[in-house]
Amino acid sequence: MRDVAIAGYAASVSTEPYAGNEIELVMPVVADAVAASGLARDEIGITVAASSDFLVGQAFAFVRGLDAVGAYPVIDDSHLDMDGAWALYEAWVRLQVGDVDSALVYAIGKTSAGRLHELMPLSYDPYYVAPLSPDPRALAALQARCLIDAGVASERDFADVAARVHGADALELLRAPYVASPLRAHDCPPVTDGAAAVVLVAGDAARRAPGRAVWIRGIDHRVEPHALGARDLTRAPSVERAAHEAGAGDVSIAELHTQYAHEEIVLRRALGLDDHVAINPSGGPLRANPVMATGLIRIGEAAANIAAARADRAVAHAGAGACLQQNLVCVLEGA
Amino acid sequence: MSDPVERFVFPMRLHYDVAAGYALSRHLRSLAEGRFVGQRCARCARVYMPPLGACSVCAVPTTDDVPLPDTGTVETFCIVNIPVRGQGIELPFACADVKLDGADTTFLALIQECAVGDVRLGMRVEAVWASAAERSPSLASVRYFRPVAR
Repeated sequence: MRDVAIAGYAASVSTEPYAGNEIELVMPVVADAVAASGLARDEIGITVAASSDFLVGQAFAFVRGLDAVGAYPVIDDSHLDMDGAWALYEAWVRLQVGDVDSALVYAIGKTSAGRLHELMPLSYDPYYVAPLSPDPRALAALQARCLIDAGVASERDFADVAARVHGADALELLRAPYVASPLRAHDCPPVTDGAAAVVLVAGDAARRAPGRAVWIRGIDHRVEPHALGARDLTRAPSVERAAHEAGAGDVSIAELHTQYAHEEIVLRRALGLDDHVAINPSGGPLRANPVMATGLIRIGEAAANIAAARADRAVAHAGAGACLQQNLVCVLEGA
Repeated sequence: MSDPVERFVFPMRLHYDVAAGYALSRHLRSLAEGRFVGQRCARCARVYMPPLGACSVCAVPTTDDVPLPDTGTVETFCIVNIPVRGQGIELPFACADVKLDGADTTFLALIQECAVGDVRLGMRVEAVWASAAERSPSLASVRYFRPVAR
């Protein structure tokens, strides 16, 4: 294995609709991440982008995204219709292949253009689930309900998570109406426009980068069965497996892709995090959820905490699909 | 066994609020005023028309506005013989990539007021604008391009 470090990270998020286009949104973020890495742009070995044309409603929007990185003369480029955390995984694999020494990963999530409750069902099982067009909040509520029925957690536990995130009083939050019982608005993520970029460097190049090196010590992703009915929604075996493979444990900070408050309870159990671990010091997806970039931001925020010496070892989690269907775990460590 | 279900209908409808963005908004506003305004990259000096808000080569924002004339050159073209629903242009017509004088990039334009057989690479053309009353923040504010009168 080659040592790979996160040498630069930048993100921009807003819960107000962004008036510019995707390029205008992501370009300054890419520039900031590259500048932080100490690399010149033409030194970067490969770019891997994450975005969804469905999200912005424009065919080939992802090609225009290349304007943000400067694609002439020709660059080595890849694109995923997945969260940027998986783009980072692809870049990490490419660095393991060893023909390049650095990678730029960026993700664009202009969520305000479309309607997530219309869009997300298109990513579900096309025969059994998608034609029913379930609101993503309704599917999340199914998982929350399972936790309550199994005696794993209560609505008060969900409110405690939301209270910490929003700086509110849990009992006060419990008086709010349901949006999809047992979930309330504060248990659900806000519509967010945002972008994030991470620069990865490998081997000796990483050791020459400015600032405290943040090493990727383990990274793994796993998937649950496709059918919701085939899963025990009170658990996340794919997270447990990914955490085991990535060597998660003994961390002081965890950045988790908790789009819904109850998911923190599922993930905390799957990752074996005790009360000493600070969960989502960034505020997490309940405060800012630029779909496609949210998972990459978890890795970036965890890395930023290590770079600033607020932690020596951290775990980042990214999720995708209904009820934490697909999960990525990344373990980061300071030099 | 009963007959297999060979198809089922899955109605879907997606709604969007698409933002033109800062650069395209500037472009559309200038078209409504009956003039072309490109943008120059501060690093490589390429002039983008239409402006994209970014230099695709340098990956930096373009912020310098560059007023451009109505005249340009046909860089490439094709003759369209296939009707497009809702378009209403008499067939056949010439569709050209036009580079305005002083610009480094091209855009798609309709060529009129000349026989399609007379369109040539390098032909000098000029924009024909819609009247001030008809113009709006829309690409339709440019009706078409025609050969520059000698």
